[in-house]
Amino acid sequence: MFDERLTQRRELVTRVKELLVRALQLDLTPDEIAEDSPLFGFGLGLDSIDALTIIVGIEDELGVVIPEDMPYIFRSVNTIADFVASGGARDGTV
Amino acid sequence: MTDARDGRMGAGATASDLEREYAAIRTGVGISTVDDLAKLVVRGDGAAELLDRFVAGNVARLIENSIRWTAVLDERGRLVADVQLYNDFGEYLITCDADAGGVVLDLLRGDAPGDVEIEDHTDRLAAVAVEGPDSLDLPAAVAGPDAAGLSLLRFTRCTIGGDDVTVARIGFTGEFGYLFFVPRERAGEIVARLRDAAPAAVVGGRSAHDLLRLEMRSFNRKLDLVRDETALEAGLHWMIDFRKPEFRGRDAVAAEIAAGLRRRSIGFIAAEPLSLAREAPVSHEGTTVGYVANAGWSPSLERAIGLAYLDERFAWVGLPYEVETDAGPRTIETASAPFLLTESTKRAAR
Repeated sequence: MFDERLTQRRELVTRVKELLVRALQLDLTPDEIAEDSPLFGFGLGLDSIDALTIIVGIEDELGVVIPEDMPYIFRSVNTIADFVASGGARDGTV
Repeated sequence: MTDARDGRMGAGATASDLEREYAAIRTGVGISTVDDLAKLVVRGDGAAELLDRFVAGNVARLIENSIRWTAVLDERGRLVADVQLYNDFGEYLITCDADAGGVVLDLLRGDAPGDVEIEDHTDRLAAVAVEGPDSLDLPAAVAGPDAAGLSLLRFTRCTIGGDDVTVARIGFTGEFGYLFFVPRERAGEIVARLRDAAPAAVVGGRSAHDLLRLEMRSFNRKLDLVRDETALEAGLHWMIDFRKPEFRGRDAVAAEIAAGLRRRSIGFIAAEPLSLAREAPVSHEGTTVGYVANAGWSPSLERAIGLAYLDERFAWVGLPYEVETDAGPRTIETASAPFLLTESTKRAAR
């Protein structure tokens, strides 16, 4: 059970990172993004246009619908992964 | 002050100070003077080139009146200091923890060509911090329209009471935050003006800041690094421009990326308060897989939160581990950060 959860999480985080790199055409490899790095402001410095691009990418590739009133899930790779793993039930808080 | 790592009270502040300052910054406005901040000025024709070789972030792409939070690394990829770099039209202000300021200054002077001038303004300038969800309009109220509507990581220079003041939008608590850099002897006047503009603000110390930063997983050099961890192990990738051809520690960073990390920092939560020794071991099925670096009790979440370093294979979110506490082993669960959704974040999203 533990190993299964660990493997699932690692694979999901890797998919989220790959999606970010591809969708935003970042000049980074997935290994160059830390899971808890802030995506906006201090961290990768993304903006609202990038957020829209991420939403489209996540909905298309990861099969979850992101409500308009849930911008909080984009705070880090890990918070995006939480949202996807919960099937859209998590709101970006622990 | 509560030591976020082990829960003991330190000298000079009380639990009520911490609670009062914490509540002010999470729900209203807190005003404090940042005493432990070094302030260095680098100017001259070669300043940008010097700094681009010196820090891990990109200086050439840092536009005027903007701030970059980046890192000074050593040749092994370990952190010498995290620094905030302000581009004031080719003259650069560098701020960092005061106890790292001397090392940064010496290294800079050692690298500087003849056309670059480096000055230590730590004693001359004070930094007054204003933080909290109700602080958004205070810069304009005190400094006038030039300071209105500052974006995150931007700054402006203005005049307050005849003094040249730099107002920067930067904070480390997840709330709206500003720093006012003023001549040290005028800091009291700035605090008084801010207090007049926000009568409900709490003027206090910095006793809650370690906890406020931990809730956001906002990097805190003094508590988040405990065993010679590398910048990448600490999750500071975002401070590094991996495509920059030259900077201190670049070869070590590239080698570590190529080889993969040995351990990684990760957040954790627990339902009950944890009384932890320094570097408390974290285990899985009886085998030690890491150690705690920083921990505390979040009043907002009503949970214990912390930062641990785990062997890379184990450093993933949503997994249970055991941590050794003064009361015996307790269960923690690895968790995503930031831990907290702040009031300022909610207001900014509206």
